[in-house]
Amino acid sequence: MKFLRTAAKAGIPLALLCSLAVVATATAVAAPKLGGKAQPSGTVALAQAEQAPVARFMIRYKTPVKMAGQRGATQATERLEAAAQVTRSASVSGASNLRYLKSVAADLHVVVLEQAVSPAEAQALMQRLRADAAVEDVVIDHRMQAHALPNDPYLVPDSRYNQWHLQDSTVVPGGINVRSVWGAGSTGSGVVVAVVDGGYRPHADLEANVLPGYDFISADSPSKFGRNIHWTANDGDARDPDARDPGDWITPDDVTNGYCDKAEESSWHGTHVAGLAGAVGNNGVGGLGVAYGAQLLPVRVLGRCGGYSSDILAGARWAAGLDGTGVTPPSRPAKVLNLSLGVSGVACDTTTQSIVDEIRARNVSIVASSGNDGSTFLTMPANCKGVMAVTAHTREGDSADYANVGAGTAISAPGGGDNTILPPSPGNPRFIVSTGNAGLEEPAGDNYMLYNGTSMAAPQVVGVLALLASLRPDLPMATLEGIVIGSTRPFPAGGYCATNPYGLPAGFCGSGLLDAEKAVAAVIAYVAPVAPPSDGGGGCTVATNGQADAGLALLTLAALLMLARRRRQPR
Amino acid sequence: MAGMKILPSRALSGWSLGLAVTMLSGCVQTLPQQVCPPSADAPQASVRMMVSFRQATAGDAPDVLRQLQHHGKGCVSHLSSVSPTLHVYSFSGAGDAPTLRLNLRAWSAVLDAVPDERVKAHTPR
Repeated sequence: MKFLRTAAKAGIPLALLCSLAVVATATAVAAPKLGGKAQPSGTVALAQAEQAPVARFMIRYKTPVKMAGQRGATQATERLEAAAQVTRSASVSGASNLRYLKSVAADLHVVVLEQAVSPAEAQALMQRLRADAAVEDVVIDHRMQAHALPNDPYLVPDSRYNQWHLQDSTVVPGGINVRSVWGAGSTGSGVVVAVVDGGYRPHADLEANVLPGYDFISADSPSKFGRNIHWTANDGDARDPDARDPGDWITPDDVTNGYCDKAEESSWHGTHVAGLAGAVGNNGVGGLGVAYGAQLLPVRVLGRCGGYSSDILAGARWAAGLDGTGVTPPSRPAKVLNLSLGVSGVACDTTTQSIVDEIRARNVSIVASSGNDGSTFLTMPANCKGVMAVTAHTREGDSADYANVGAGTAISAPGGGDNTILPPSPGNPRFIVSTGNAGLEEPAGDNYMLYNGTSMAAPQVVGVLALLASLRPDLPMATLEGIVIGSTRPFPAGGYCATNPYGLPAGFCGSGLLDAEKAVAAVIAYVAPVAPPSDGGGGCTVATNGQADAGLALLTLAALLMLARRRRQPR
Repeated sequence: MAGMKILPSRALSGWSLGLAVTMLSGCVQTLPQQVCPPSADAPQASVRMMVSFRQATAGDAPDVLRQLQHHGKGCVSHLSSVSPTLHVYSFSGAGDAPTLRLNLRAWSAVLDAVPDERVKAHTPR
């Protein structure tokens, strides 16, 4: 992790700057491969930019200047040396109103005209500058815009049922900072995410992203249920190819079997969780998921009053593409499994651990919620090795009062509810809004439901993993997990996790608050390393690993991310 | 209703018979395979267990069920499969989970047996 953090700190600016240097080609070539649905074309954006007056250029020189910190050079000497290079070029090219502005690298300087010129005049000036023997190349320092944000109404921060969990942390401290990532065109496209839960409803804001799943709820024990062996499944049969949720309502009579405490309406839990990971985005309807371009593989394992460990393990194996469940694995297995479920008070047994190991060996991540007992122990399977355990925080970023924490917790994500310590701040809702159903028992029409719980936190981590997996599918999922865990924001001062009032072991709340923007920036730094500035060169050599387009796409994304951030925080 | 064909009674009977056979066979397929000791009475306390085998095993094979019944000392039903080596059974009249685990592990083909825990969604209801 230390390496990742270092790379994130050191690599991002270099990647960004290099991407700016290649922007004229990178935007046009790579943007469509970023995979965002209904995103503006990079080519179009560039064409519009080329009509605008030009005042800024970037000149790459054959001889680099000494950057500050190199062999005794200071910022002042760096600027002086670079400005001298530019002044000489201005003189040679006859552009007396050309001024040095700043340096991007030792050999790459930004220059500005006192008055903007037409694109044709800019091209002529660039030709004259290139004629200078000291100049390697000249490009326009384009003004770039982040791609448009999705138009889903619940994304608007002031809307009544706003998805506060998706907001920038400058607006909602507990938000996951994902808007800039979408703005840069990353949506999780091409990644399959399995929601191992209660099935799904074909909600209008969900269905387009749903793949054919499977219902893994097996028969109940005949000795316990007599002939009503499909009581848990509630759909009249055992395992079947229909992953739709028929409802999990509980009548007062049902309580007598010992699985439930009280009568309940149907929860539509799986539909809610699925929507948080990957509800359809930019469709002008309701809300959207963190990875709204990803595909959802619904695996039904929870029915009335929960489900069985064995069905969950079987469903998880199937989703990961493993044989032996009696059901042919999906043609496109999942890269990430979401398990917003668990059993309290038990250690991870060897049987469950072996299945976890088997799934992870197939390069599939398992993300599980920590539990809602308000305790300092994780539920199973969150407590198994190799499972990414997710606890929950509130709008304010404080640990939610119901959320389990403790050894083994990987990260915290928004789950809503009340703070453990911090006072509540104004703003509603405190719950998490996502896709649901209006049926109290059997399914009815689509709606949106408000829930809180660690169940709601886990799919957001899954969504961020999908964003990263979409950007670089060749990276091992374990690496992506490490990047997500290593690029969190710190817990807020004065909150439960920062103050640790009960002296719990370090890291008991995980590494920090989930931050999609930082995670994406870190994965860019990780997968698109640039050669460190050498004494002589300082060049911007992009390591493409034979994937030039992907590298350029990532670099462009880095630039867009940085620009989006600047737009929110004008200097 | 105009133009709707009324099936002759013989054809209807055949169709009904076919439907009945289909439904019956469906029922037969859904009921778990069960092996009980001759003396086993109806409803007794049951325990749902995940049984890990050392090698890939057909979990619902009659021989396997007989061995499980013998070692588990109770009525056994195969409920589902998780993997080639992991199968789920319901035992009744066979004691509690720790006892069953001990008894089942006495069969050399069994690696381990753990309770098939009831799992809940992580949303306060």
